[in-house]
Amino acid sequence: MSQVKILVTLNKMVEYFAGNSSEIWAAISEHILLLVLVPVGLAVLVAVPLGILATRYSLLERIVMGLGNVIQTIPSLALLALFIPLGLGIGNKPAIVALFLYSLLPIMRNTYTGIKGVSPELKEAAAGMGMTPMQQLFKVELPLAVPVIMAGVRTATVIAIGTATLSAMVGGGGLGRYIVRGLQLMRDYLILVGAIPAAVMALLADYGLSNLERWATPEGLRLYNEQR
Amino acid sequence: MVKFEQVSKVFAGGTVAVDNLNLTIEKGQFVVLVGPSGCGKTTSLKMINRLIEPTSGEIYIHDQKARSLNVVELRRNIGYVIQTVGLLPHLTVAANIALVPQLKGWPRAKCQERVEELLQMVGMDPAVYGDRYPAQLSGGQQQRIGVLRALAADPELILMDEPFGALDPITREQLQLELKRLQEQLKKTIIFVTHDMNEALMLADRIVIMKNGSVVQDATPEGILRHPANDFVASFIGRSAQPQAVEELEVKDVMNTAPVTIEPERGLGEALARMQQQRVDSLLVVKDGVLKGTVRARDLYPYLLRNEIASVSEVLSLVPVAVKPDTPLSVAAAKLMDKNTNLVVVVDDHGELKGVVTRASLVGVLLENQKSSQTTVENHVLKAAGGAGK
Repeated sequence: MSQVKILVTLNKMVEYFAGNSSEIWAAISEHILLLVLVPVGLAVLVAVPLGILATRYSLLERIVMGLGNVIQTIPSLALLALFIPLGLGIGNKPAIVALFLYSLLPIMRNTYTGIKGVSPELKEAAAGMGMTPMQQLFKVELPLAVPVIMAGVRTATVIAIGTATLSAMVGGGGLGRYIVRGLQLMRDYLILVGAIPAAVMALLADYGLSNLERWATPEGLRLYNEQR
Repeated sequence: MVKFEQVSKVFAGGTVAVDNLNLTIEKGQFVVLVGPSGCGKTTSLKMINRLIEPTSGEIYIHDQKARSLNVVELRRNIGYVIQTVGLLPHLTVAANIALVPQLKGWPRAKCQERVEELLQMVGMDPAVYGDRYPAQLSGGQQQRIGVLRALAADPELILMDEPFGALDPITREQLQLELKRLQEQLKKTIIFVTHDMNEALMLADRIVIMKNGSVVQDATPEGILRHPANDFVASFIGRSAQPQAVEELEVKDVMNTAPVTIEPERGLGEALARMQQQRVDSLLVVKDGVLKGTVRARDLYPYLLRNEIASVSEVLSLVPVAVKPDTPLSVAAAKLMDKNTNLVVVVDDHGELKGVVTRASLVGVLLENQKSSQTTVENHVLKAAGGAGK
């Protein structure tokens, strides 16, 4: 009986996909662009410089890493809802802010770790050759930290794709809308219409970004890391 | 070129790394700072390019106070080589060598030209190695590139911090020789830090031995070998297996333990063949390890000309000069000269053959002993070459 029910549900889901494809594509692209690329992109712009500064000033390190940890600890749904009373209203806005904050920590932490992980001898060699602190950062530390920073971006992206489905709870868009609607109407196939593409997207993003990570790693650095 | 004036460095925590150091290094000198770990040699070196700032005192570079100079400019004008090589792993060999010239804003073409020139100088083909990454090179090749990188912008002064410490002995010696050759060719001022006294003796024009942040002795390699300032220096030299003084050597230290021998019952034809094969003009005749005598080529000829068949035992003569293994080398040398012979045979109390001392082996010992001072060896070679020319 349950097998029949599953088949029926899947069949309805496929029919729904076929009948509402343009609407679903719009939801997918809203999910990707507005709820993942925008917050993660903004997070990169903020978190990488913060991570770098944290390696320079230990006080800043304690503050930003501490804050990041606090944000990460707040349950995602609570964080999403928190911004409604704080004046952002309902819709995509509170979702974008919450997803942005959520992405900060993994990127910041990996930037910090990546730069701190550059061997002291290399830093001393760079300084000893007469590089300015800025040159040391851009010619030595950042290129060597790229793989670690990229891994942070990947983690943040995958988390954002999943968490973005919750934004429908605060009136936001994306694939979460189907899941919420399916739950409200007790329509299993609608839940799947939202859940399956979201899961596939998370897997694809993880795969794609790990390739990007490899591609962005300088060849000499890859050889060097393989040897160690 | 570089002058330390009452320089001290006290690290946080109160460790006195360098204690009132006074040192003047002239242009073109190859100075080696040597001493046990913690003696302050690396700290002294790093104070020159201001990776470490002195607690008190003044360091002058070209008569200018180092601390008054722009630190970035100062470092770009001083070559720096460190033990861990410190090549940037994400850059190619060519880009690594060209780093400082690029920082100084040389045009691209000039950088490339310089890279090629330097690689050729150490026998590495730019077309083969220029585009490789450091991880694709052996340890020795990496440190060659490390040295080239320091030379790239043609600085007058180069600092080297145990640059060959992590290499295997054979590669190390090769790089030491190359460095010495480069320095003689380029006339750079090099300040070199090591804990290896042999390395210091091999490379330096001048050795500064340090201990507990102060200079214990500052002299030429020869000066240090001949007149160690105190027990510390003496033990430091001793520990590095420095060649023994000639006066103390015994025959067994230098003898050739595998001389060419023959048994008494062998034929003369065989004796001659063996001489030709081994390129010697005499053989030692040995029966069960005991020396019976010697047979010389000139003793063989009459027999061979007459086509007589004879055995070695019929033509052997007594060994003219024999010494014991513990005879002082000087005695053996005197015998060699006295008797005007080419070799002295070494036998023990039971008459067993232990080896031979030849004129050639004596020359080898003398040269080995003088290796302590590279210049002395060169003088010898020069004198020898001059003498042969006359």
